[in-house]
Amino acid sequence: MQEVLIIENEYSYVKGAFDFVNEFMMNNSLHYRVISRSQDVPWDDLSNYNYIFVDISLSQRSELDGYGILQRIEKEQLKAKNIIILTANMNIESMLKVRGINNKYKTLIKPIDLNDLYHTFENGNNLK
Amino acid sequence: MMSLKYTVITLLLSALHNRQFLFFSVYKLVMLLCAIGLLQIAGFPKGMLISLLAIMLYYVASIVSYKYNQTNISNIRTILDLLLIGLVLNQYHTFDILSIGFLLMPVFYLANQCDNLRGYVTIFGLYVIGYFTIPGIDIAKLTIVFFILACLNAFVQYRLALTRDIDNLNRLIDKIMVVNFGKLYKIYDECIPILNKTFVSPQIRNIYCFRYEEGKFRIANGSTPIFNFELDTSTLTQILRDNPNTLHVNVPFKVNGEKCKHDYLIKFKIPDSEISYIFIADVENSNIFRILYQFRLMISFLSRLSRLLEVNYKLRANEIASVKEMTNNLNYINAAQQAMHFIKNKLSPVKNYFAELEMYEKCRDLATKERMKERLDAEKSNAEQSFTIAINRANYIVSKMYTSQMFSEVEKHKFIVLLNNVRDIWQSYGFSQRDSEIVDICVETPLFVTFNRYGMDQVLTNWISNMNNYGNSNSRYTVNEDADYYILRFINATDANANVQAEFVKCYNQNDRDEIIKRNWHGLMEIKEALEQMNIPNEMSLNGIEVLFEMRFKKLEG
Repeated sequence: MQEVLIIENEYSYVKGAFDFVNEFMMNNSLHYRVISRSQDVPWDDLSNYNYIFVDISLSQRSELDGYGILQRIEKEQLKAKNIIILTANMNIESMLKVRGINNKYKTLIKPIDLNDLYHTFENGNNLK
Repeated sequence: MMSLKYTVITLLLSALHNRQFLFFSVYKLVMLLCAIGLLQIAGFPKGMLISLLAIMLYYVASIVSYKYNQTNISNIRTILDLLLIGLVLNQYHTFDILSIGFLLMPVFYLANQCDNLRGYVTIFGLYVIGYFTIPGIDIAKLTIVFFILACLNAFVQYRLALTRDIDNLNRLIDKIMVVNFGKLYKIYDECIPILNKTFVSPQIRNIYCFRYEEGKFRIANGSTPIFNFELDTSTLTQILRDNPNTLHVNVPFKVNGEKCKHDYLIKFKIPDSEISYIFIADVENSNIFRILYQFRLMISFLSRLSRLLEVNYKLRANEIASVKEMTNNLNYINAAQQAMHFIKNKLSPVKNYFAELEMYEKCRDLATKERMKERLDAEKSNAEQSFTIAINRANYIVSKMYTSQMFSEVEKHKFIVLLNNVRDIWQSYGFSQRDSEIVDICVETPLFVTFNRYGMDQVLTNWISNMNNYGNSNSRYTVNEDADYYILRFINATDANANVQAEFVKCYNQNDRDEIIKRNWHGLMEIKEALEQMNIPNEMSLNGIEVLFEMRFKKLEG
């Protein structure tokens, strides 16, 4: 079983894709934990998750947005495997640079493509 | 005869408008009268007429040479001065060494060409020559004469120093206008050293400038940034209110927490505003002559600087007003951008539904297919819901777009304002105004027209840019009128294919497929929409190979 952390405030719109991939393409090998606010991120246990999906624009109640979460991970050098950015912004790379986020992350552009999501899991630790 | 008459009139008018010239003319006249008096006393009956004619000639020549102040003419002026002095001396038969010394004095001592010290050395030198070479000379009279000369020299030097310092300061204004118009505060760094160089100025450390509005001082700029200031106006208010241009010493002023001991305030009234400058000096400025000199020195400089500040202030105010006007449009763009993100998010279930549907159709395992069917039904419901939300948001943005009448608020302007706008934009694209503008309107009774400034800028920029891209050197515009309208007509002479031009004109004049035309002729539709919003009748037509674009502006009384 692979642990997947999804930080997304509008999960209902992508739930279908995640569930479908898990049930029909990954043989229910994924276990999802969904949170919508940065306050709920298990900062000390990030290394326990095989995949971490970070949406950029989180809910109003969230203290940090997606950029803020990535910044904190980099600043505190937290161990986290396979971070994937969820966003509708096609220009995300330059936005990351502007905010001083230097690492390269795989990005899934919304609306999410089912096959892209599947390949994200299939490639496992070889994500670029 | 006529030309002499006009020369005299010109000289008289110049004298009235130019105080310095008037002063010079009167000075020469007094000298002339004295010279005539001296000649009469000496007795010169035969040559009187010749002398008078010579002196009149001298007078006119010296006035003309002063008016057209050029190097060769000023040399002639010097020669004329020498001749006059020579003539007077000749009547007295006093060609001694002192007289010759005086005669030659203008040659080796020209007040505007040598320094202060050289002037005094010259005067003292002549004094010594007179003392030793003229036997029995009255020392007291000689001393009085030379003392008066020394005083005159001091006065001339003072005036020259003042003029030179004023010129230096005014040159700074010219420089800042060209180089640093947006950063006028930089002028203080350069003017303080000039002020401190003048022989009567105390060491000025800082200058702060304020706008004086409704009895209050508002920060304009300064030689150092002003973070906070305190100015006790209780004693100043009455003085400031009663005196449009005033100087006040030792004002109770505190800047950035530091109390200033030796300061003085100069206030100027310029049209629409009053500007005050506070000078912080290192030593107390109690000498009345110093204060007067400084006031005199700075009055023209600060007056010009104040006008620049006022222009800068108004330009900035206009910029802010423009930004405010643009904010609504920016808000709309922002809202549209956010809506696109929102819609993309909401389309996830739709995209997902089609992907699942495809996999469902490809699936051969019946049990799996059955499970997929349940999920597919659920996803279909999600997709429909998301799709409805996305469409609603899109409709909202689109409806706002169609109701945004950015240019519908029109203002009344003189027609010349519109014409000047056309000229400015026309020339900004490199077209020559002289060869391409034909204006045929009644200029004696110019009327008003209405348009939105930004809308009109958009129309003119779009259209003239189009002419620049596709027109040739015969492109031009005409302005004429009928009873009710001013008519602005652009004639775009292009080398384009006649069919393309016909299609272009047809597209513009068609009113029933704007949304389709917009895809290929977006700029053209922007022109049309802006003119519609401003309610300005317009039409495009073909005249042979030329495209005519006509706008009609309703004439309004002022």
